[in-house]
Amino acid sequence: MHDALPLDIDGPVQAEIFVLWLDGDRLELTGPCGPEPWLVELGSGEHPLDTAARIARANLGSVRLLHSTSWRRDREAVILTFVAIIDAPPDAAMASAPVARADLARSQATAAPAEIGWRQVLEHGLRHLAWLAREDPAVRQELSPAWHEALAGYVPEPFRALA
Amino acid sequence: MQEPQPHLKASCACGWEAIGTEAEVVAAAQQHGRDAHNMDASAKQILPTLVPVDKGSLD
Repeated sequence: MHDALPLDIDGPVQAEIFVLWLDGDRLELTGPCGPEPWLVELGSGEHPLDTAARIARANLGSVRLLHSTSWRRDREAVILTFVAIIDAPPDAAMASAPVARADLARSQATAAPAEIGWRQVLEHGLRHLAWLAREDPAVRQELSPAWHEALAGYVPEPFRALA
Repeated sequence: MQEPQPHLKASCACGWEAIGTEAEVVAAAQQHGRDAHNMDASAKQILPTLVPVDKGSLD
């Protein structure tokens, strides 16, 4: 019993939310699980974006932007990645840490990368956000000048499969 | 006099933990699952994940 595994989410399709906020000009990652991917189960009858939005609002309060940025095969499931942007600094109970840059996990012509770390997924998510900030009027309008500045260092890249 | 119930620890892969009686930690884990992970965990799923807590570690 001492070797019991902790409770973990399950299901063929799961959501992974990266909660981001801007501390001055520094990008920070936070969330109910701290500065790590926040995993959410998706029921078979649920729309992934609706569920991610509902649970993000319930845990974070106001959410300025929520966008899907990639998908991949992991945890014996399809993982849909979302980036959530909040304005306010997180609740004191939610640990936060600066976002570090990472190299992308690149696919081969017809094969997925052998390994994909969550920091690479987040890097791609921010590049996707940088692309949206240029291409999508709703996102462009929603992001503050400070956010546009923070994303300026990310190479714009559209949605793609990471695996 | 009723015997004190042993304390158990429930934990989630995300780092969340709760310590209490079996009934308390099962209820807490179910609520955490629903609130934070959109997960409807049954007591049957949660019970094998519980770990006994030494009394000394609660002092």
